[in-house]
Amino acid sequence: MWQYEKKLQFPINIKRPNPKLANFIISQYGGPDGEMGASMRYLSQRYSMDDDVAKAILTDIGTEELAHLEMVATLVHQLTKNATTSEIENSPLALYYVDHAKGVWPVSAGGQAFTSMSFAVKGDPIADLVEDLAADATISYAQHE
Amino acid sequence: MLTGYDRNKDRVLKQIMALSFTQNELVLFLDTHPDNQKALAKYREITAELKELRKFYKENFGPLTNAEVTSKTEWEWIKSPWPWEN
Repeated sequence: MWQYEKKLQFPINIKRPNPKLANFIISQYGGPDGEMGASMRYLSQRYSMDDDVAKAILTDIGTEELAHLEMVATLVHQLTKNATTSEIENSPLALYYVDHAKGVWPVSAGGQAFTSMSFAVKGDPIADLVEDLAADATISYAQHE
Repeated sequence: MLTGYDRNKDRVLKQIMALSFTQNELVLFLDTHPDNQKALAKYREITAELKELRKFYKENFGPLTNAEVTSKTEWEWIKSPWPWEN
């Protein structure tokens, strides 16, 4: 089970709205390499792990990804909260705003709704752990692109 | 009442965040290195420090989880700000 902690993993305090940046960052929430997929990947794969190390690490990493998910959502929330309608209309977030206003909805930067097809669960420890390595490589891509 | 701690809620919370972050990194390391005595000792040290600081925070600024509400007269868990608010 899980218990909510009334704190972020790392402090976030954004004062200046930036809907353009919010549209980039929302991909880290519900995009193909986002935290929604990351948390569900690890937490779903753990059931077919054979050894204690793999069961523990997938549980604990999957849980940490939920904390990342909350931080990414917080970034989007704070980047849009005080944005004016005209600022949003003139940003890449304009089409998102039509359906979701200032809500935080899992979607990619390009407008693709979150899908579990962005990660794999094969019921095979080796296949799943290799998939985890590939997924982890997308993070260094996101950080350096 | 513990003494010697900061009285500023945000600063104490940041200390808790830093200790929790450290603790979590040690947890992940220990998951794959369960016999590492140095990491185990550090984990015990950080966990004890975090326990004290969380107790201080709870008693002075409110609960961090809904299982540690101390007030007998009101349900203080629902009080803002929530973590995403600034």
